[in-house]
Amino acid sequence: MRAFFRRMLSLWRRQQLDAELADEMSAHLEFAAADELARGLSSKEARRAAARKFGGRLQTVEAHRRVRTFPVVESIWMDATYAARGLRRQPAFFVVGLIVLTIVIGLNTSLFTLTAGLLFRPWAGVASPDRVVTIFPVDGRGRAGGFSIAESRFLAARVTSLSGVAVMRPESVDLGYRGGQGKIGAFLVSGNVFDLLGVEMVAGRGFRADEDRIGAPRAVVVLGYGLWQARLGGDAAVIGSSIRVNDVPFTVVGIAPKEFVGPEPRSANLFLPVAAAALLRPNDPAVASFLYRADDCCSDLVGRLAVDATSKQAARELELLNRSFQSEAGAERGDEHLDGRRIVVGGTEFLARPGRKNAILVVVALLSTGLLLVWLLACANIGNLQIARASARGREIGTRLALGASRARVVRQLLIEGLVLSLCAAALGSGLAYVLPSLLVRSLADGPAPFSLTPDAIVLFYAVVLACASSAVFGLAPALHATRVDVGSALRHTDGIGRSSLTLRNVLLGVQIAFSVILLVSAGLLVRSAQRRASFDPGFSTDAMAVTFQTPAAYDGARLDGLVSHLTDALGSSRGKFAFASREPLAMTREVTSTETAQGSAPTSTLRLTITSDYFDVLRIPLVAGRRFRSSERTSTVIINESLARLHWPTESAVGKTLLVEGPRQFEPREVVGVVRDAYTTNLTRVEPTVYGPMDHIRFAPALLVSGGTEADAANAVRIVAQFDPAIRVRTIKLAEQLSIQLQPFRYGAAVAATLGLSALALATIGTFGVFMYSVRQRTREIGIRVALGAKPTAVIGLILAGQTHALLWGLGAGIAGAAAASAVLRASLFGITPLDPVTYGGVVMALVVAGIAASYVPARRATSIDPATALRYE
Amino acid sequence: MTVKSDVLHGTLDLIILKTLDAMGPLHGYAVARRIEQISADQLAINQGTLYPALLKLSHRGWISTKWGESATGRRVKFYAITPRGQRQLRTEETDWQRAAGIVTKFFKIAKTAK
Repeated sequence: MRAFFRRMLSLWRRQQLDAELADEMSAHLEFAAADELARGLSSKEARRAAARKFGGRLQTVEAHRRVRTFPVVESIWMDATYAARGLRRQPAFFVVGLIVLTIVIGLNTSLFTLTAGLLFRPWAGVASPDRVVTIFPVDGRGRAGGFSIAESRFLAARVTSLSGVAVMRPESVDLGYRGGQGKIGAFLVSGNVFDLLGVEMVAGRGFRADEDRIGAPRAVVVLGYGLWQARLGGDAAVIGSSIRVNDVPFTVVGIAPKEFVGPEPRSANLFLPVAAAALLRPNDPAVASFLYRADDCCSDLVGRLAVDATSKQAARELELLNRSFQSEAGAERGDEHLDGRRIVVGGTEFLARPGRKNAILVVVALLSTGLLLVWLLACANIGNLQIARASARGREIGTRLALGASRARVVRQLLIEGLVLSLCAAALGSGLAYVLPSLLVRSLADGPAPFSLTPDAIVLFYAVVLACASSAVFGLAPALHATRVDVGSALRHTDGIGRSSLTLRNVLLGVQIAFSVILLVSAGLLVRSAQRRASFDPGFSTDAMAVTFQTPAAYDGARLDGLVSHLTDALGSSRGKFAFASREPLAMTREVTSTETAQGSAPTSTLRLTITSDYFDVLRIPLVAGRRFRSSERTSTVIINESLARLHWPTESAVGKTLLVEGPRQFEPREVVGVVRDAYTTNLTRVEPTVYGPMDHIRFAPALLVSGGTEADAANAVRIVAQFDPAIRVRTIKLAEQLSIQLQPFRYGAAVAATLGLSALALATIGTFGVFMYSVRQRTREIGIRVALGAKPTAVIGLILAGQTHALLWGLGAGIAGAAAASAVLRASLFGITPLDPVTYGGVVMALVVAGIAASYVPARRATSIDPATALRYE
Repeated sequence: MTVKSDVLHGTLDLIILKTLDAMGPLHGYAVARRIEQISADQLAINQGTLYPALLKLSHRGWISTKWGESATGRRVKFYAITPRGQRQLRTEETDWQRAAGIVTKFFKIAKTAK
């Protein structure tokens, strides 16, 4: 082993070692000559005798070198330096190849880095992270939900296989501090969370258990590191001071460490006790709903495994507890909502959440496949360039073969040339992987990634493997091809007129076309479906505008009534319709209640909204049956949506029926006066059963909806509110924008797909261009003769194209077949179009035809402008 | 990595090790002279072959090298045997003795059989 390293080492020190040996040998000869001289020989004879005894000096040097290194390694090294020189002589090839490979390898390693950083890393900043688990209920269809706060407390009090259970619930709040404002992400956490996870605060402390008593909230907050740095300048004196969250003063008790960002891979800005939700949104029925209702959902739980407990045991125990909680809660409410759940206990990495794995892995797999195809395309491209080069060097290769180099030796040399190129690209590409992922995350998430995105050794290894694979993929076939030269004809350097030497190039061309068709079709389908989704009809009019109010905490029902009637009076005189609703469409929060048709029948979990009479007009949600609310509607009537109507009265009309709606103490009877068309007012994935009640007894600032809201309307609303009370904070939201934000991910997907598809198209165009160009150059002489004999330009172009037509058609055919297979895989991600969308396929073929014409234009011009006289002299 | 050297093939290595063991650090020419003297000029080797052999031995860690000055003040490389080299020398010596003994025995048997 040691000898091996020394040998490797001596590769780099070759000249020095040679010099040392020469020095040693000359010393030897001097001593020997001196001895001979002492024996009485003349100095000339003495030197000769010494040299004779020493033997062949060159043999000694050679033998020395052989011992010093491995001859094979040394010759590979020589090949590499030779290749480097060769590449320097052809800078155009080197630069093009380097750029293409760098981009491709860089993109691949970036995706790798991003995937590893985002999906597979457990939470940082917690003590013994391998004992921390996430707990999710999974419904019958494998979708992960959340727990109610009530259930989390129930579980925490009884579970033995976990040393503790804590809640982490995302929340969005307004932050006001030294003038700073705006919605930011926060987490509502139970009081024990920092102790349970073992998070060491940068400054201050975590929460105490007594700071999170539901019904007795305390206004304390722990700041996220990012927020502390960005908005508060990293000043430790902030501990004990007060910041305003949703306009309520909160005392800062601690600062979380940089690594700890909460359960989602984005920066958590604030941590607040769960109980404090009542302070943040006083009177909001949604808060009461999640704090007290057993059937509310969507609080995420974390736990720490007790000593000796496994996550399997924990899952079993939690399942039993969950069932007993259900039967307790169910006996009280008879609610089927909680049924059929099982509990999954997993790690804290992003992929641990059930149901997330498939969706995300599909995305990652699609992306990797796309990138892999682009990579193959790039290799095919460079392979084609390699062939062109190798054919141009046919004479050099022929000479080397004639001089007795074995074919393997020449192939090896050509492969090493490719390897040098791709290793350079790998070095640059992994440089790209250092920069690109964090840039990407920064632009998508509006901030630095809260997790490490530095490529590790595995990523670098991946880049090197990719480089070696690249050089094998693009180098091997051309190298074998190039060395299959007939020595005699290579030396005579006749331009091949025969077509057989173009076969491999044509195969590569066909492969390129096929891959780009697959990529372009996939990209086209995704782009088209994103377009379709952008024009997705949510069932309500998005040209309205929503205005929300953040009232001072001291506002009671009377003041809110005052605000609403002030707005009604002021707006009533202006043009345009308006309405109030307890929540604007696509709001972050929701209010859950239960409805049933008869006392004791199975209640259904239902969304509840209170609205004023013009709500459906403003949002243009059509009435299916019955009537709208009148302006002085009594509270004993409700309007329901089609989904709820179908649930309760599948066969008959709901109008006129009595619906029992859960009230503070019992289910209260309400008369259904109307049924409206289903609309995606809460989220874009499904329509929830919804009951609309008339707005009365306002306890929480409602949202104002103004139809056809313009900037002027928004400013108007702000002005009117300011007249009433300048302390009220007003936000205006264009519903179209809100919708567009929710459609964002699909657009990102389409943008990525389009980028991949366009790079494929660019590569294919370059490849086609190269093949045509080369073919023209190769056949200059032949074309010259034909032109001299009177061939027309069209005939010449036809001649050039003819050689490639087969490749193009085969590539197109294979590509379309491959694309059809690929789009079957994509089916799940498509929206509103069939996987065989004719517009996409037609567009792709058109794009390729245009690209083909562009790629052949310059070569064709060159071919037709060939001057017979020059061409015949062309060598 | 220990290499069990073939007796005949590794003769030169063995001779060099033994020389350095007996004489202490020597430079290349001195090793050559010493071998010449001991073998009374019967071992006709090209002195040049010594240098690759010395390099091989030092790669194996059996000898160490150091630049120094000869008695005449010439800058030369000195070779000295290392403890590992001495261990190797001892095993090779025993191997050699055993092998030589076996061969000698065969010659004796061959003689008596005649």
